[in-house]
Amino acid sequence: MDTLIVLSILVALALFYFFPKRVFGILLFWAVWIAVVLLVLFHETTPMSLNF
Amino acid sequence: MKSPSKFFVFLVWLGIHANILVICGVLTGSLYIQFAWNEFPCRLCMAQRMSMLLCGLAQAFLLCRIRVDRRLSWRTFVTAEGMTLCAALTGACISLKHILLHITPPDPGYGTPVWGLHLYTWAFFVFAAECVAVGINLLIAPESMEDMPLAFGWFSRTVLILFAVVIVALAFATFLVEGLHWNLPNDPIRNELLYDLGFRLC
Repeated sequence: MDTLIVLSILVALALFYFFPKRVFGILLFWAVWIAVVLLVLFHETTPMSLNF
Repeated sequence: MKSPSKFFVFLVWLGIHANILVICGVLTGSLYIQFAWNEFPCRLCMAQRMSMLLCGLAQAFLLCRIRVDRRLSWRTFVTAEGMTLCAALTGACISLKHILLHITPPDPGYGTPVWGLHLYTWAFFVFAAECVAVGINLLIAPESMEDMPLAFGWFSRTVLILFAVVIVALAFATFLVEGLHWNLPNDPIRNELLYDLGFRLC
């Protein structure tokens, strides 16, 4: 999933470059942003990370 | 209406390029540490990298609009700065979460420190600087910037190409660690792609 998100950023850059007047790039930007937020919200910490 | 302030518009133009170049530099540094020091990024590290890419992407949006219009409308400028701010705040929250995960004294932290601080702490500084840069950009941008022509030459094109190359390199590095799995492991210890392909030593 992380690889797909990074590749989506590349696609968004291509959309910005080739279709700068269209809204597709901006929509993809926000889609990726929401994906990153969800990724972190549902991130589970392992016992190793919480090594008290 | 006052005549447009060329100096401030030039500062904004310079700031867009500097912003992308700094993000490229930081991400290249993280790639160097991943491959040269053999340190694997965890899921939170990857989320911070993505947030940095989103910050750069918003600034690249401005460059792409300059390429077509040869000037910058106030609406486009504010949209891109808002996108940058959202990405930077998200990245700062992720960095803070990462710092707090390892803040208790017996915990050595994740990864090797660079100049005394871990990479997620440096990432927090980068996101904080990004927020400050957005504030300064909005502060100095003159209202009449729409009347000012802006250049899109070899330098701007090179910056965009460099940014694209960094994104491709990051995608490759992520694929290497993630492999064909849906999620990155929380504490990765190997390149999953190479491991799955039978290179057990990697």
